[in-house]
Amino acid sequence: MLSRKEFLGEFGFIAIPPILLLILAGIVLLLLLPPAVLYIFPQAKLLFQVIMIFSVYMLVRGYLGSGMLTIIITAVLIWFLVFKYPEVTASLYVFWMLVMFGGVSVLIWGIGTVFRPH
Amino acid sequence: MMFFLFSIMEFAGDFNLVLKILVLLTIANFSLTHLGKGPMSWIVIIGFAYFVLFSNLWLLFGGVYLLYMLLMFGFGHILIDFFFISAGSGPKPEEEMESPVSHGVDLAKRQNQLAHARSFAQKFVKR
Repeated sequence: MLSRKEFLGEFGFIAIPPILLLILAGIVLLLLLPPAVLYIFPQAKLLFQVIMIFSVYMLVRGYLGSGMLTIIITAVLIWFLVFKYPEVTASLYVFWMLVMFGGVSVLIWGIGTVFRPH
Repeated sequence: MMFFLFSIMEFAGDFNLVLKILVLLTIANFSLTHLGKGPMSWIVIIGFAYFVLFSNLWLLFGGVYLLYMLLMFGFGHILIDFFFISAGSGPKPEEEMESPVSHGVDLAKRQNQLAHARSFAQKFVKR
């Protein structure tokens, strides 16, 4: 395993351990996975959009109750989140789910334990 | 390059709008919960919405709300894990704790240190 200085060259003032770079790379890969799945499987994209429509409506209805204002705000959010930027929404949604269930902690600790310099 | 920059600016603008909508929902929920669905509640919503969303303080309120959302969704746990991992990257080889079991090399090293200390002390005694 390379030392910090060997990994970063002569930039000794950068105090970022290489293991953090690996963890960041793992998280970036995790964020890129849902858009890749949506691109490869159009059915998955359709399924995700349906789920997100219901989720957004339930979220807005939880805040404002039933009514015309709820439908208008839901429509605006659905346009941006589900139809204009589905890949970004998919990444954030999957990441949020993983954070909620502790999956990101597993990823961070797993990378940190496996790639720790011995 | 210009197309990429325009795309980024467009995305930032749309993200800003979505954030404003979410802040408006939070304000509305707070007001409707505490004041009911009467006209007073809507007056409070409109007043707060104007102050928070359409004033120069939106940078502050938007940033704070974004931070609040991140912390609420558990981003703090990720930061804690980061700091744990970066702090516990293992001891440096020269700072490793000594083994409770003596080894031959370790014993020879200790005997050399003792001999060196004894000869140093003897120099002081002779003076």
